[in-house]
Amino acid sequence: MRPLDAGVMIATLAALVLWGLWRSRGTRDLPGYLVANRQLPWPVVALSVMATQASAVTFLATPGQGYVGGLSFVQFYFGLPLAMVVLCATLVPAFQRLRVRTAYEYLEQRFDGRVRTLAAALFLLQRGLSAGITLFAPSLVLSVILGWDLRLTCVLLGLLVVGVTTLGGARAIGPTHALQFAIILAAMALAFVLVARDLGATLRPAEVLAVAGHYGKLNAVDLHFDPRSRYNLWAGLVGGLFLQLSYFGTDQSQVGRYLAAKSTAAGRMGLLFNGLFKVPMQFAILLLGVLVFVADQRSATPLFFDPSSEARVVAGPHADAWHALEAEHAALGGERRAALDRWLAARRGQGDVAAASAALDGVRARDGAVRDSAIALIRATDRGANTNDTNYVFLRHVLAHLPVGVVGLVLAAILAAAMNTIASEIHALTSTTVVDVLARIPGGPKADGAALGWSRAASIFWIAFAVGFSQLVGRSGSLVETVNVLGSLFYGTILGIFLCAFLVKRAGGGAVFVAALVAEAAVLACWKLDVVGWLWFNVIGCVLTVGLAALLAALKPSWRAPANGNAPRVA
Amino acid sequence: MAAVREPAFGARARPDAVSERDPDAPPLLSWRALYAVVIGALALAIAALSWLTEAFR
Repeated sequence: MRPLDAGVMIATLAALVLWGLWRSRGTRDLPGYLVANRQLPWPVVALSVMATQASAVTFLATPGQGYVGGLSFVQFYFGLPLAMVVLCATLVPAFQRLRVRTAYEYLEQRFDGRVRTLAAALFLLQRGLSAGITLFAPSLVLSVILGWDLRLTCVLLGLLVVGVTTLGGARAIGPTHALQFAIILAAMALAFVLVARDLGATLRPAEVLAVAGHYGKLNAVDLHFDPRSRYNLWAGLVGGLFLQLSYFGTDQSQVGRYLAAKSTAAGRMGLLFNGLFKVPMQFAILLLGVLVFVADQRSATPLFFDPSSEARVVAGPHADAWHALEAEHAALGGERRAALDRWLAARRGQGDVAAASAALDGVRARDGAVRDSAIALIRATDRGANTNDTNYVFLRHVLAHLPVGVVGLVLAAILAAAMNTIASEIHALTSTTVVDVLARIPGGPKADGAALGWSRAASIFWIAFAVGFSQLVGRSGSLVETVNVLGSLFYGTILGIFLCAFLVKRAGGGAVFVAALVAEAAVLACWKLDVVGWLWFNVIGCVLTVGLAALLAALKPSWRAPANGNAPRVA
Repeated sequence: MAAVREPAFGARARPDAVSERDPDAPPLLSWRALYAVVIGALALAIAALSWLTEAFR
């Protein structure tokens, strides 16, 4: 890394950590630690909500997703604005009225301690594992850039997050998020402008879109309904709605953000702001990946974007075959540029478009075959090697093409995003562990002072857990997909439990508890047998929990809620 | 308790007309109108992206 980039990165990160520590001064009680004494205004809540969801995975893997799969991933976010509206009308006022500190605290008031414990346990398992992935993604960046050991980098980043999370809690997280998110957006906008400017030097905007369209990268909306397809309009609207309802309504890492709002209105405005800007933001990040793809059609690209996989092959018995493939790939790069120029000229009326198009597709098919051979060599060298290089695409482009200083800023932004999300996740895991588990066991922390000490200890435990799991993540595919698939395995059931509280007035704790266990087993079976696209896991878990709870409450009177029960009013 | 603002003479009282000091009042529009803005923006985004998909297929 060049000295100026290193300087920009270190200065930006140091400023963020110091700002977080300064904001955390004076956190001496549990309400301050868990919900920032419910004092945050809506702009801080809005940015904190967005920053929590926009992890390093978003800024590292999403452009790669755009590069490889085009814009289709944007459909995943279509359910989000709808979910924001539903939550603003239901759970946000309910949580504020009941003054809960975690989402699961509410479940004991409505059902019983078993249901609260089950929901908290599902959350702790899912979020603890996700924290490992969100720690792994930026560690990957540093290990590639600085040549550091990947495992050691995970540990170092974990230690960086310890300061802000364990000392400040919610009081530090909210305001720090606002500043970090502003830096992240500025860095990504700058990267977008620079990539677009470089492309604009040789291609007109319509030509850029035409090239992207020819390669099938502008596939933003797919109206065809197919339950096995990962991304289409229907999976995005229905599956995405359930996923986002569950994430924002029942995942403590998000609920904790708007529980810290100073009023119901501030919480609602924070979520609605997210509903308005999330889809355009994700579209812009995916489009950045598409622009990088178009730029790469006219420049030399590596045979495989993950340098660690390449290094292993080059050091092994298949080095000669790899070098031969590299030479072939480089030659095809020249042919591709020439074919692309002929295709563009033909589109301007200087040749046969169909013939130029066929030539372009021919080069692409041959290059695809070369890449397949390269992947076969990676597997032959190491059978367990990661053959998905999506997460490295954007990073390689940033390093090769962006000017000095901007590279440091983009790296700082990716690391800041990691700190944002991990801080929220660790804080949520801590809150749930202390409020929903430790405080309820005999001899557990009851007084605020003791609980604050336990909270800090729990934070350190969960960071250690995340660091431990991050050591196992390396062989997964696209990180942005992995983190959402993992969430979808549990979110539907958790959402179903919360919906039972509102929709199935007759259901008591027993019915909901059994229904949730059966639903979770069904979701895990669907995942194992690979029968539907993963966004549908959210729908299946939720619908099964609600439906079974209603059925069980009807069949077994002892599992019904008492007639004068505590079913909530919907505001 | 915050006083509810009186509607102007001859104007119909809106059900969500509240005091400026009400901490749970939405800014500018009613909550329902804000929800409609968010859903309308989503519909617009889907329409625009559908056009983009078809135009460059």
